[in-house]
Amino acid sequence: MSKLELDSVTLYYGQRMILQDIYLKCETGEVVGMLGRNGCGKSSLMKILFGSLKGESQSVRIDSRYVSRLFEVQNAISFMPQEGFAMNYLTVDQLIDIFCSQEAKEQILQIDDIQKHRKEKIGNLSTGIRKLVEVLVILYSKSKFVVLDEPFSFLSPVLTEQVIIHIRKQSDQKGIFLTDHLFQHVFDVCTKHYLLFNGSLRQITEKSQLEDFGYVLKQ
Amino acid sequence: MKSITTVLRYIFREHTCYNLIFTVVGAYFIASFGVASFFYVFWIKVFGNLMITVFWYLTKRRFLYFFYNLGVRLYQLIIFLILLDGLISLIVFTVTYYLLN
Repeated sequence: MSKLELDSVTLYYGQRMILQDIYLKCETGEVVGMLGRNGCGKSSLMKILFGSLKGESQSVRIDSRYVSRLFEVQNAISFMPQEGFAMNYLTVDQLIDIFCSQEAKEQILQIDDIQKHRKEKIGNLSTGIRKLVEVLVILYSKSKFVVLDEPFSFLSPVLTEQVIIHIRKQSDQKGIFLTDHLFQHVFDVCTKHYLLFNGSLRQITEKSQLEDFGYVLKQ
Repeated sequence: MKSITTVLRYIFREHTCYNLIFTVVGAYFIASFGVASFFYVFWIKVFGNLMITVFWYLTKRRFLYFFYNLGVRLYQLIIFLILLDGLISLIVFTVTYYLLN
């Protein structure tokens, strides 16, 4: 079992404090969900965890070993940014070959929507299918930890269900961080939930707490 | 990091192939004016590289995550880019010089 810890994260954009003294932990087998209003710093926190963004302070530990940028550690972490990461000229097959093992490829290709489009270029796919491909490629990559930034946006309900199934399947062996505004799905799939509120991370155990923090309107 | 050949292939596709325009312009200068034009060719290449890099960063920055997910750091990416373009330019300029002089 592997453990990933993010500690003492502080981030400012100019004078504006975005994140303040954040601590976050994830072990393989867990799915950690993060909620928060637009612009509250969810994506920034994910990028700090991945290593592509530096805050004013942060400390990242994997299996109690300090690392500067987690993505530099082989097979430690993969990240799916909300705007995608795959070049338009790559075919679905090529993208899977680059990031996944043969065994993982076979599992991904069992999905009808992927199988149908495997020879097509990423740039020719619909936004939803493109998202599905990118989410699955990252989920089935060789990394022990996976970060998914808005994996459900642009997906139809059927594709969302597919993604949830595969997140659950992969969470047996991986630690997964995800953030999305579709909080019902986040609650369905995650084992731990957090709300980013005023720069701090609050653990959420019941949906009613989301109302208390003003993330959803009171019924 | 994923195998260097994979990384180099996509660096070429994303950046270096566009830089071939400036390499050809440099080759034209070398063919026309000889080694004396090397000073200008050098600055044409530097300018071309910077222009393409800035354009790429402004329009395709998200693809950095493609390379990050392969375990490539930003400074490694820049070194690969310079080495790949330098090698191609050197070959093109040398061949041009010996063929036309």
